[in-house]
Formats: sequence, structure tokens, C-alpha cells
Amino acid sequence: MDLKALAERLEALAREAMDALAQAASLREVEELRVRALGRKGALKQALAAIGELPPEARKEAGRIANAVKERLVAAVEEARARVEALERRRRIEAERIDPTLPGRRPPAGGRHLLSASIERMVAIFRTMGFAPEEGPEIETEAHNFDDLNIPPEHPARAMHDTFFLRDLPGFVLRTHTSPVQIRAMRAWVGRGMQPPLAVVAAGRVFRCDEDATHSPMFHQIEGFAVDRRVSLAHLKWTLRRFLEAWFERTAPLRLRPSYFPFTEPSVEVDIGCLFCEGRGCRVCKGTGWLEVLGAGMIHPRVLENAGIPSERFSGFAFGLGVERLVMLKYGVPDLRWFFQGDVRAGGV
Amino acid sequence: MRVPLGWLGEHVKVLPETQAVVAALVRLGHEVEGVANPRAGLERVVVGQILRVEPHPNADRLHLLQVSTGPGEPLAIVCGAPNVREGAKVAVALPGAELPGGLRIGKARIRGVESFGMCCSPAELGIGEDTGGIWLLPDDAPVGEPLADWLGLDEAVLELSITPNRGDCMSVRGIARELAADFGLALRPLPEAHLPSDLEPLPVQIADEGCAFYAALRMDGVPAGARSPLWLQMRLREAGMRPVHGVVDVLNYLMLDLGQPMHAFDAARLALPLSVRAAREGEALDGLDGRRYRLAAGDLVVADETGVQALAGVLGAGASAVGDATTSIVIESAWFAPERVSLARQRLGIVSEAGLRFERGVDPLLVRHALARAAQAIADILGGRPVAYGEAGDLVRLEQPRTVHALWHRITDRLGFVPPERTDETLERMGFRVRRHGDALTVDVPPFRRDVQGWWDLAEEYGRIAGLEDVPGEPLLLPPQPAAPDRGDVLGPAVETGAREVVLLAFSSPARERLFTRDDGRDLALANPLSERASILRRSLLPQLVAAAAENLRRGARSVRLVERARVYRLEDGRAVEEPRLGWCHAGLAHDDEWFAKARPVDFFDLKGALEHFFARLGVDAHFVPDDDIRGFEPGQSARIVADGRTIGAIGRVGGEAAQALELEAPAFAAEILLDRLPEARAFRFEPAPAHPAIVRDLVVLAPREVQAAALVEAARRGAGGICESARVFDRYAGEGVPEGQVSLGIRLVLRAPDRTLTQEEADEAVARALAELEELGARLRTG
Repeated sequence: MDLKALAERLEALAREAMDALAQAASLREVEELRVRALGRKGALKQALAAIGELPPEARKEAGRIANAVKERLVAAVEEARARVEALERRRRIEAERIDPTLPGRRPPAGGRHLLSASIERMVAIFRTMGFAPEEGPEIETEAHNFDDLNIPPEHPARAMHDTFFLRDLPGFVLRTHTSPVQIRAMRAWVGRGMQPPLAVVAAGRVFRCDEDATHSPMFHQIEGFAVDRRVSLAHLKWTLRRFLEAWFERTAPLRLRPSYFPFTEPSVEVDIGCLFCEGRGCRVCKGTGWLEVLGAGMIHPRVLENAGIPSERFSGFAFGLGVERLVMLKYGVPDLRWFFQGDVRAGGV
Repeated sequence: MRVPLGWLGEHVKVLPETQAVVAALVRLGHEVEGVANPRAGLERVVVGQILRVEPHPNADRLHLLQVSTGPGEPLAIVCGAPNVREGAKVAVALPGAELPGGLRIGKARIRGVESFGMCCSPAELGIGEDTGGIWLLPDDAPVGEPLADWLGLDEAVLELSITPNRGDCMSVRGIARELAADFGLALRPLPEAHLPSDLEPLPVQIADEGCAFYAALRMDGVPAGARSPLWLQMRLREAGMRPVHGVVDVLNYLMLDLGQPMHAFDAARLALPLSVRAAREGEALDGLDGRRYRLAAGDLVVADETGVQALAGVLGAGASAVGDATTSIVIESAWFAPERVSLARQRLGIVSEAGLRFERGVDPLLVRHALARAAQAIADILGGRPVAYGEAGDLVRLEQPRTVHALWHRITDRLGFVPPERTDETLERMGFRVRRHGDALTVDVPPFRRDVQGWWDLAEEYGRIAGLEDVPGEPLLLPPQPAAPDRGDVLGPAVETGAREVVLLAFSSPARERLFTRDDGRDLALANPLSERASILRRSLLPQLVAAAAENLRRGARSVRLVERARVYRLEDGRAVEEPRLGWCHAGLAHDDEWFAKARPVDFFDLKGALEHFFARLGVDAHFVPDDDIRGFEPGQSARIVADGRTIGAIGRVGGEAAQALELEAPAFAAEILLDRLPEARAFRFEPAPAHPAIVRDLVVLAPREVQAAALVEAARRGAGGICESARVFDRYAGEGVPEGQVSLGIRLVLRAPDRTLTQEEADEAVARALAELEELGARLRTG
């Protein structure tokens, strides 16, 4: 065999192997072709065995040609391998393809009730202002619920409270408001030696035997009060304004309107500028531009005295807000009854 | 209280416009709930006269009327009323009218005949009750005049909410006094009124200190069936009262005007003397409202020789009430002690205009005046003459002003601002007398202001007169509260399990409560429940909670998970006990059909898993102890929940009886946790991740069915010893290949030492020890 014949043989070998590699469809096939062409017993090795038969002066040239072929083959194998790998990757991706628009596996979605979550939020707001949280029993003595709060039995306001009485427990009622906590907290404060100030917030359930579209026999109130050496209506106004702005997360004017509660004097109704019409007048505020949000006042000296606090040394304010009303206004709950129906279709109640 | 603006005008000259009046009242503390316009809807209603009545050509019951409404052609009107007659004056709604009830009047074709308006009944005009047919007006009604003008209807009626301390404002006069004082206007003096001096004596007596003064006047010659004039009837209606009888109407009018309630008896039905006394045991009042009231000894009554004729200040007896046959009357005007009226009225549940005023205190200065005015008005308007008069008690003490001393700085301290000087003048116009000596303030309080008793009440007067809108805001700086503890929140961890929190009413029925609570006589029953279904307080959260779940299923929910925190209540040793609890209910499906899984009904382990998460979050080590005897739960699928050796709750499948009673349509599992028995949550502590690798070994054993899984796991853990980081069931199988009465249980042990890498030999030994412990319980390694 001469140099030319060898070169032709190598060239044919290379072309054949490269054609086959171009057709290869799997990594295994590429490997087989590589071994057949470049392996220890491969075609190239066999072809190179013929180099020894060449005259020495031609061997160098033959080696150069053989190396070039080998390099081409190695490159072709690499290229084929890369091509096939990409192909297989695509095949695998297609085989494992999902439809991301199918619904996911969701964990069950629970959640808090608007009222109880709101009560926590409201108490937290008062807490940041320095009011200490307290609780009281829902079944209260008539004395705590009425007499100590300056509502004697013959008082017309007592009849207006629509009180639930207990059949077998004379002298007890379902508390009609959270104000009895005032008496309890003030007496405890007296017992601790009356270090001023006393500032308490008490949230809880209250009961009235009245049921219609705007009244539930059970609802929630938050009571707040502060007693110190010189507390005034101005402190009350500032406190309520801070609270209402924190609750509604916006600024709004506040209006105090004289009113009457037996346990405060003076008593005020607190109105907030209508949140829905900015005070221009709308259906929600009945055209007045104001929304009534809570009742408050300066603690009646008789109430302080009933709790054992000398009214000439201390004064205080108190307020009681209806949680349901504030929640309805903030979240657009149209009807009180949603809160207590346990209907999971309704959002948050 | 409803106050027509025109009526106010009779007490105050030149009242400002309605808006200013409303603003002033609100500022003074009288809530204005609304302003009604009695003329609204009557804009196109006029007085007409029926000229001709002809039968309708196409309908037997209809008439074709020719009605004159002034100059011009009479109108043809089709009318179905039976009481039409020629010459009658009627109220005619002209085409274009939109009546108070919303009825629109247009030209209409009624059974083929055109009709150009409508003759109206009182109800159609919103000013009275129908008595069969259209409203026949008095003959002097001027044809063509707008009806509202002729009736003298007001343009504005204020709907006021008078607070219970202000009895003095339960009258037009009282409201007028507030407004006049505030606007600086003159309050017109009351008209002079005196009883004739030559009256016969009328015997009355007071035998109870609950009555300070009692006066009675007899009038004879009152026309039978007396009716009040239309203007008076309109006034009453505008004020929200119905006309009844001429005498009663006049007395009601004066009550609304002056605030002094008066009662009229039929003199022919009284056996004098009249006596105000305490009711005796067993006495009753047959009220003019047709109801019988059992009186309590001590109720203040007005009685004659035959018995009780009135519950003082609240309600008269039916037998002696004024009626159409009455021609002679006895009118009472009195001052009854507010607390006596209030207690009796409240106990008997009577709501009367008189009672509401007496229990808030009436003006002692007007008791005699009102009676004289009544005599005069009845004589002038209805006819009749005073013949006899008697009185007992005296008003002198009540008429004295009360003197209140105050320190000005305490008032301004309380208000947080200093009222301007003009406030004193306003207060004086309201009937107070103010004297100042430096900081000291001496105020004479008029007798009708029973609510002003102390300096603090003066603070309110100064505040409302000055206007509370001027109260500045002054920061109240309190020492900061400690931040809320990071323990103690139970609802957060509870809803993390996928449960929705609900808030349910605290009421239940004994029948419902018996589903989950034994009859132990400890129910707390309401004395005045709203309904039988809400007659006691909840003993357990479960009845109402499971009922709420059932209701959600009925509404179409497929998978319901509820949680509720609330108190339960019971009677114990004569005391009320309130306990906080956390109730859970899973009902329906654990999950619905999905593209990756079929729907699965909820089971015990869904709820238990939620509770395990809950307890883990709280750091409570809770165990579930099988218990077949938990009321309301299905035996074999229920357990007590135990922590620190105490039962802290129960869990189970809602049993058949309860499920049926609560109308459950799908399986439900419920649990209740006694929150006051929950061990204190552990404070959070950091734990580093393990430094050395674990060895995991699975043990599959055959064990007798009756041995609890928890016991086997515990045995394995005990056996594996201190290097056992966790042991849990990963497989459970019974059936083919497992002998009858046994189960195959797979337990996965995670073994780890804190300080070194375990060797396989150590793990082998631990597994062997675990197996030995398991064998103690009758379990053996499953092979093959």
C-alpha cells in the first residue's frame, strides 16, 4: 500500500464514521460508533497498522494525515454526543411536561373571625397607648352591672338596657355592657394603693334581650377608662381620636356631642367624620356627614366613690365602643347578623 | 319625641330656620333622629266638593263624580267609596300627585271612563286611619285650598331622642326653653289660667308619701261623644299620637305641650273620695288597654271607694275611663314620685306616655297650671264647666330651687377648656341663677331640672352650652404597657390547621345541650329568654358548633372545618361558673374530588392531626386515651385528651343521636378543649440542628389488635433508649397475610447521638432492645 492508497482509505473511513455519527440518535449509538472508529481495535487503529508498511520517508506524512483524521473523528464524536444529549434532554422534558394551569394542591385555608381578630387589634392599639388589658365575667351581679354604675333599680336607663336575668340566680344578670369591669378594676386598684394612673381596656361579650335587623342578643364591646389626678374631656378626645385613626387607618375629624349615661358626667356621644362621603353627606351617615361610633364621658364621681376612689382627688374618663359597629364600618359588613351565622361562605365571618 | 316646628313657634318668637334649630338641639345634647315633613306628598291635594254623584256606566260599585276644586270646570272622578254624597267636602288628589304612601295619581281610564284625580281616604293621605270610605271633611273646608294649608300641617317635625335624665324636655315647652335660651330669644310667657274660685269641694286624699300632690277637678256638661277639632287632631298626629276622644285629646295635647300628664275619669263611674295609696295584696288593675295587671303590694295607685281606678301616673282603669257616653269627668293632675312610677311600670311592662314623663320627673310648677289650662280648653273647645275641685299634699318643697356649690376650676379641669362668659347668661335663660365669688360658684337649679344635683352636673351644663365641639385634644401620656406576651394565643395555631373561626351566640336549649352534656341540674336558664331554642346558656360548645357545621353542609359546603373559642356556663353551688373552651368540628369531606385524588370523607385522624399541630405549636404534650363513654360521641371512635395527667378535652365522631338531632348530612368529628386546664405553654427555646448523622431503622412487627399503637411505639422508644430521637408508625396493615386478630405495624426509629456518629453496631443493639420491649407486649418481628 502506498501513501496515497492509505490516505484514501483513511478518508473513506472518516467519511463513513462521520456519516454514521450524524445519524446517531442515542448516546449508546454514539459510543458504539466511537469505539468502532477510534477504539483500541477500531478502524483507525487497523488503518494505522498499515503505516509500518510504508517507506520511512512517507511515514511522517502518513502520520500527519492519520492524526488529522483522528482529530476530525474525535470532534465529530463530541459533536454527535452533544447533539444527542440535547435531543435526549428535549425528549425527557417533553415526557415530563406538566400543565401548570391545572389547580395546585392547596392546604385547607382557615382563618380568624373578623370580630375576634378585630378585638385583638383594637386592644393592641389601646395597649400601645398605655391601657392595660383586663377581663370580667359575663354573668355579673346586678350591683356591678347597674347599682355601682349609678343606675339604681328605679332608673329609667335600667329599663332601657333590655337585661337578661337568670332564672335560678337572683341578683345576677348577663352583663349588658362591659362597664362593670370599671368597678372591678377600680376596686383592685384601690386595693393596690391607688398609684396613678389607672388605665384599663376591657373587651368582651355583652347581652341584651333584643333581636332584630340591627340588634343581636349577644354582641361585643370594648371598655376603656383612665383615672388620674387631672383627667379631662380633652384627654378623652385625644385618646379616642388616636384610637379611631389607628383603627380606620386614616385621619378623620372627631365630634363630641352631649348625651347621657348614668355612669358618666358629662356624657358624650362620639361622632367621626363620615368615612364614606368625607362629611359631605351620604346614605350611610343619613346626610349628616357624621357617623356615631361610641359613647363616652367623664366617670361620674359617684361611680368613683362606689369603687372607693376619692372623687375630689381623682378624675377619669371612660368610653364604651361597639365592636360590631366599628368592624361593619371598616370592612363593609352590611348586616350585624352575618357575624353570628357561622356561614363559611362569607368572608371572614 | 316628635316636635312640630310650628308648635315650638307658639313658645318662642321668630325661630331660626330648621337647620339651625337642628344643629342647636344636637349641640345641646338632644339627638335629632330625623326631620319629617307632614306636607310631603300632599303638594297636589286640595279641598274639593262633590257636585254630582252618578252611577258608573260599566260598574255597579263605582260612582262617577263631578268634583269642584275651585273656579273652572269640575273634574270627573271615578270613585269606589260607599260614602260619597252630593255636597260633601273631600280631599282630592289631582293628576300628578304622589301621595305619602307612594301612590301616583294620573289621568286614568277606569272601566272605560276617564278619571281626573282621586278622592282620598285618611290612610291614603298618611294622616289617619280609614273608617270605611273617603275622608269627608267638615263643611267649612274652603274649596280649592291646598289640603295641607287648610289642615295647618307643619313643614317640619323634629324626631328627637330625649335622654332619660331630661324629663323637662319631654314637652314642646321644654324644648322651646332650651332653644330660646341658646339663641338668646324670649320664651313666651305661659297663658294665664285659673280655676274658678267658687267650686264645690271634691274629696281627695293622699295616703302614701309616693304622691307629693294630687288635684282633681270635676267638670259637668261635657257633650257626649265629644270629638276634638281637626287642628288639634292634626297636632296630635304630627306628634305621633292618635286622636281618641275630645277630652283625652285635650289632655294629651297639654301633656305634649307642657309635659304634665293628666288623666280623666268618667265621674259617673267613680265613688268618691279619690285616694292615692299603696296597692294592697291581691289587688289588680283592669286597664283601659283591655289587659289585667296584678299589682304588687306597695304599687302606687289611685283608688275610689270601690277599688283601684289607676296605676298612679301610668295607666287608668277601663271601667272608669272616659267614653262616648261620658258627660261628667274628673281630671287629675298630680306629682308622683318618679321611682315609684318607674318600678311599677317596669315590673308590669307597661309603656305609656304618662309613665315615661312621671318617672323622669314632671315640673312641679306646672301641675296646677296644666289642670287650669285643661279646664279652660275643654270648656272652650268641647263644652262643659268646672263644678268641683279638691287637692291634697303640697308642692312647696318641690318648687324650691336646689342650690349647688361648685369650684369653677374643677369644672374647667373636667371639661379641659374654659367656657366663655356668655354661658352664664344662657344658663340663666334656662332658669338657673348663677352667682360667682372668685373661683366659687353658687347655682340655684330650677325645680324642673331634677338631673342637676352636683357640681359635676354643672360641668355638663357648661360643656353643652359652650359647645363640646370646642374641646381641644390633649395628649394623655400613660406609662407604656409591656408588649403582649408571645404565649397564650390559641386561635392563631388553631386556624393554621385550616379551620375557620366562628363566633356563635351563647344561647342554647336544654334539648340541644343534653346531646353532649348530662342532665346534672346545672344548666343556667334565662328568666326571660327570647325563644325556647335560646333558653339556657351553653354548657358545651359542641351542640351549636356541630349545628353550625351541619348548616354549612346544607348550604352546599363540602368540607367544613370550624373552630370556636367561647365560654361555657353552669350553675355550681349556687354560683355561676364560666369556663373558656375551644371547640372544633370537621364535617363532610377531608378533601373534595381533585384531578389527582378522589374525594375522601373526613375521619378521626384528620381532626386528630389538626389537634396535634395545635398542641405542638403550644408546646403541650397531649395524649389521646380511648374512651367509649363520652356523651355525644360514637363509642369506638372517641378519646379523652390528656396532658400532664389531667383530662383537658375530648375528641370523637359525632354519635348517631346527636347527628340525627342536629341534622348532620355527612360524618362529623368534633373536639372540645378545656382552655383553663391547658398546661402553661412552654417558652420558646432555640435548639441547634443536630451535629451528627442519624441512622434510620424500620421495624415491622405483628402485634395483637388490642394493643394500642401508642403503647408499641412507646415500647420501641423505651427499648431503643436515649439515642432514639423519634419513633413513629409509618405503616399499618391487617388482612391477607396477617393472622386473624393481629395487625402488622411498621415503626420507624431515628437513632442519633448528640456527640458522635453512631456505629451500625450501636444501632443494631438499639433495634434489638426495641424488639425485646415489643415482644413484652406480645409483638414479634414480621418476617418474609
